[in-house]
Amino acid sequence: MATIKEKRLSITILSAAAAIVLGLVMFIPVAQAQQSYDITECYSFTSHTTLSEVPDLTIVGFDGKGIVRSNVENKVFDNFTLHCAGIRRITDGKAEAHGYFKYLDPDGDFFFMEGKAVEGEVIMKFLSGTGKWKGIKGEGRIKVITRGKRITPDTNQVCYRHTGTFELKK
Amino acid sequence: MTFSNKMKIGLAFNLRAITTITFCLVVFISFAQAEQPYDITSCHSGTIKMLYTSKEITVLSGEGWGIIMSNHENKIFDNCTFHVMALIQTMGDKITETGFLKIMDPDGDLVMGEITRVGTESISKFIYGTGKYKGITGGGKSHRIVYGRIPPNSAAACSRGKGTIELPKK
Repeated sequence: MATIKEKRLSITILSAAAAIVLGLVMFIPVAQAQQSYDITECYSFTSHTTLSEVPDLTIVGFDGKGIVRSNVENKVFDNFTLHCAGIRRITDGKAEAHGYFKYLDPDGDFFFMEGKAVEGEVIMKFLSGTGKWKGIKGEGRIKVITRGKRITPDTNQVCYRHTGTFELKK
Repeated sequence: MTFSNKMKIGLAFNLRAITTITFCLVVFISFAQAEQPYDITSCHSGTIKMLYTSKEITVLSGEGWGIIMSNHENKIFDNCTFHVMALIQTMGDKITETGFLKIMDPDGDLVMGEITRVGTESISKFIYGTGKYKGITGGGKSHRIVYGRIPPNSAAACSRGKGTIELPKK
């Protein structure tokens, strides 16, 4: 016959095991839902509206189109095309930009991101999506890889490295 | 024949051989120095104008703006921007394309190229250059890595290109 001490020990072991199982059950869906991405985006931008060009303040509207290549094995967002619209402000040599980006997959589903650029780094936030991207959430960071001399005066060609994570509705 | 004459003939033969070898080496080294390989990834986006489309045939023009990243340690064409104009015809599965390409390096020097495409492979031929590319010849082949449409009338692509350039000796 089991003593009270032995009963208590077995209850403790069972509780610990249950807690571990519960923890694992909760952790696995979260780990599965969150995916990382690492992509290279190349754009050609066109400046279309110059709102202000006074010496201490330049405000320019821009439009960009481009394409994505994935840098990692999961190939998330590989071969997506890009379309963005935004506005750039330059005050005393410091640039800030705010834009919206549409990522279109080869099946025609798409999602939107919002980007805010401050001093060379762009912070990107997922806003909404359609089809397989419905309910997308997450965040990323963008850094310039290469920026060439403007091939025509009103255009600008740039490639960025964009990394981050996202989650999809279960 | 005296020993002295044999020596003279032998010496003359050796001199001729050495001269020939030296000449060949000089010619070879000049060619080896003049011809340089390139290996690039180029990404661009642009607009498409449809001239005619039917089940049998599609004829359109494309104009694109993009940027180049070099995959070779010599960094030829790295960070160069480009502007391309092309006429594209599809007949059934067969795609043919002819066009011209303007590449600009970060110093503003230019290279003009002629492009032709049959199927998935493009052939480039350099026809003109300015500044450090004056007298450029050579060319290469490229194939698409990614391609996608951006509705309603735009498209974007990345290609991998390999070939050689030759510059005249200064």
